[in-house]
Amino acid sequence: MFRQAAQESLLIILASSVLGLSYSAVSQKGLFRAKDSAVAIANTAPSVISFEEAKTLHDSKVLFLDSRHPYEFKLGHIPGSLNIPLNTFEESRSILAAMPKGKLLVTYCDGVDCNSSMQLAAKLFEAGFTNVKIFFSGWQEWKSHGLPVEQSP
Amino acid sequence: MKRALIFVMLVFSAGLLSAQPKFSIDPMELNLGMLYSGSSKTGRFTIKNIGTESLQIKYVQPSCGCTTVRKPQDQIKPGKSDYIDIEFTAVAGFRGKTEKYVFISTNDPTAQELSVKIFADVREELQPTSALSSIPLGGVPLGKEITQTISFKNITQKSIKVKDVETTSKNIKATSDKSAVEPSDTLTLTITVKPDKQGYAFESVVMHTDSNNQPKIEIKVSYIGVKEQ
Repeated sequence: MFRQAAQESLLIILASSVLGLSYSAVSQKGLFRAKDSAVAIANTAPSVISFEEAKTLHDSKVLFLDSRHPYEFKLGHIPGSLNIPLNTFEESRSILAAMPKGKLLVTYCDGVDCNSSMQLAAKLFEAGFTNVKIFFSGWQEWKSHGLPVEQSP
Repeated sequence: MKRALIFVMLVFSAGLLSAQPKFSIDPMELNLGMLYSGSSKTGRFTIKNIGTESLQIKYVQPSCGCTTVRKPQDQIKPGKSDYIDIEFTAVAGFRGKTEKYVFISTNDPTAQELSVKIFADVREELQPTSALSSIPLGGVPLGKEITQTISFKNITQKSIKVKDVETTSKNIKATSDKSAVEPSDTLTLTITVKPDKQGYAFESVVMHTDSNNQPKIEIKVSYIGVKEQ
């Protein structure tokens, strides 16, 4: 009788620990909270990714945000991406407000001569998004690899 | 009497329907020809209202930071013309055949949104050895130094001297490992960035050379200053 109760208690403690540790890991709170807040901030700042990383993230269905002009977007864009032109960022706030702040987002624009992907990433970071990547070589590199593209009607 | 009234109304309606602005642009594609990286060329598009109502130009926007446009007047009367003057700069990273757009929006129902193309053939004497010829850094903690290098190969048959390397901000320092680069040889610029304010920043490193064709090479440096606590 006592042995059974002890076994059950042990099982409950074990299950609680697994649950607690999992929550800490996922939420990055409690035990897994970053000790150095500067590191935490630096870690959550937007970072530049290569074409290969962008391709992997796109294959994983990560949301891409296209900061180019709507007409340019209409002519062709990375499949599944959402057009958030930099000059109309304020109008896109309602769309962004519906997204969790920790959602992984990839910004891109035309390519090497275009900085709006970085500017959009900066605005998203200011708005509280903590997992933003910048595909800096953008649309031109995507096209140069012959990958599928999408057009809007 | 009734028939006459209907006839008048029909003629009036037809007149209203046909009274429209009509946008015309020439050329649709502008070929600027050959230019060296770092240099600029200008061109002109002529727009004309060939309709019977005033033509409204809602916006004229280039597809990249490499092109600046002088916008025409907002309203163009029937039969009148104006110009879109452009200046295209072959920024570092453009190589060979380069194609850019200018987007135009008007109140012509058949030309509410359209684009015209700009072509250029960009040549280099000092060619970046990496695919990216700019330095996009992403988030950089305030006060922290980040160092990156960028190399250029001399693809000419002559020696090229580096006269000077300057930056557009006190937050960026740049040095060249060579004062001259021989044919087929490579020089490396070491660029250090130390942000002192939060948010997006866009600066340049400019290397001046004795080359007539490529007297300056501009390397764009962009980053996001991130608060450190």
